[in-house]
Amino acid sequence: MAIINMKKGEIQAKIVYYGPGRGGKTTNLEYIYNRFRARIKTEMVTIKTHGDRTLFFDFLPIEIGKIKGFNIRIQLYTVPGQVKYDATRKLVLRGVDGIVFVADSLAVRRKENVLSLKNLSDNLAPHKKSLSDLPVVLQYNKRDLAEEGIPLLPKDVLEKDLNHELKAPSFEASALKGPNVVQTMKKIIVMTIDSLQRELA
Amino acid sequence: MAEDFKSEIENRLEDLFQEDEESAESVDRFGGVGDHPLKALKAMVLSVEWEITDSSMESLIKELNSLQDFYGEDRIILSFLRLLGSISTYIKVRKGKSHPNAMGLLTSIYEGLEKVALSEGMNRQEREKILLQEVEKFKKLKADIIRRKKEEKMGELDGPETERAAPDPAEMSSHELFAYALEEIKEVIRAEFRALRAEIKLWRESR
Repeated sequence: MAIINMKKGEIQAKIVYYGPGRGGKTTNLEYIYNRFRARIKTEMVTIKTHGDRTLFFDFLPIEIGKIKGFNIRIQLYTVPGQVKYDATRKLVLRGVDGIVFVADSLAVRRKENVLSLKNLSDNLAPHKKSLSDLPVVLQYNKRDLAEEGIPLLPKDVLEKDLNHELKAPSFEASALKGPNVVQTMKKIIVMTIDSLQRELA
Repeated sequence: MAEDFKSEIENRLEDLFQEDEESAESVDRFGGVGDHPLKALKAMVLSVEWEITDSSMESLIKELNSLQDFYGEDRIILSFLRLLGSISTYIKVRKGKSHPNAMGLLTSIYEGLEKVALSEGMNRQEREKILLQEVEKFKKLKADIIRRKKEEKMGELDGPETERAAPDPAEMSSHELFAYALEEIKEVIRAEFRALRAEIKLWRESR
């Protein structure tokens, strides 16, 4: 849950990047960190396994600075995508204020995307939250692989599979190369802060 | 008021995350190969980096074989292709049970190959140097795989571990969930230390 300290004038929001394993959640945060570390002036915390997979979570705090008297802090998290770390995923979702669902555009990963979105919905339920009342942005990652001749899911198929009910903003992106990585993050930050402000009003 | 706040955040984010083209280029890990004969191979390497299936591995091995015919007279490129062939065959057989560094080595060898094949005017010494670096990595991985196999056999002699049924997180209380997540982490950390110990041992042996 967001930490809002009216006395100190602080707003701290938690945004979680969720999605199937090997989908590019960590790569999203790495891209942001590598490109903007000089500006965001924070450290990214990441714990990986021997095989370069996310073990617990990645964490990237971002100081937005003071806006209308409020010091805005954003915490970006990823979850481990591998199916076996469900308990960890559920734990990371505690107190979430906004979600980026990073879908894998590879044609062979269609089923994993749908299962991961269902898993997200299931794991939000114990926290008394649902996808319909949280700010959500969908990212269709790995679009750059189309140039390499690798079969990808068309955007309308991804929209039908994942965004039919949600009707969330969505971006075609490449976490490895950068297109729409920052746009995805900006969108979810604006939506999350806006949603928190509306809750307060 | 709410709209003001929103637009101020948008402006601040715009300033903070303004992208400049120069650094965007430096993030591009794989440059384009255009219509080079390696184009299909590159697509396949990128593809298996994300998903290992029988058909993707078979296509990769087939492509490597046909490139060996194409580059028959270039001994250095031929060596790169053979290294890629060996590691691809290993990944095809072991799939998800492959050594965790196998996929990284496949990508690294491909990158070396691309550097050698695409850099016009690179002299023989430079080409050999890049090849030797990849050969060293290959040898190291091979030794590690052999050592792991030995360890696995020793483990089998000690008796198989009994599989624990994974509890359903939905039925767990908050503290149980935390304890379970902690156990998951501990188990992976133990595995990481086992792998690190083995690597240190290998490093000592190679000195």
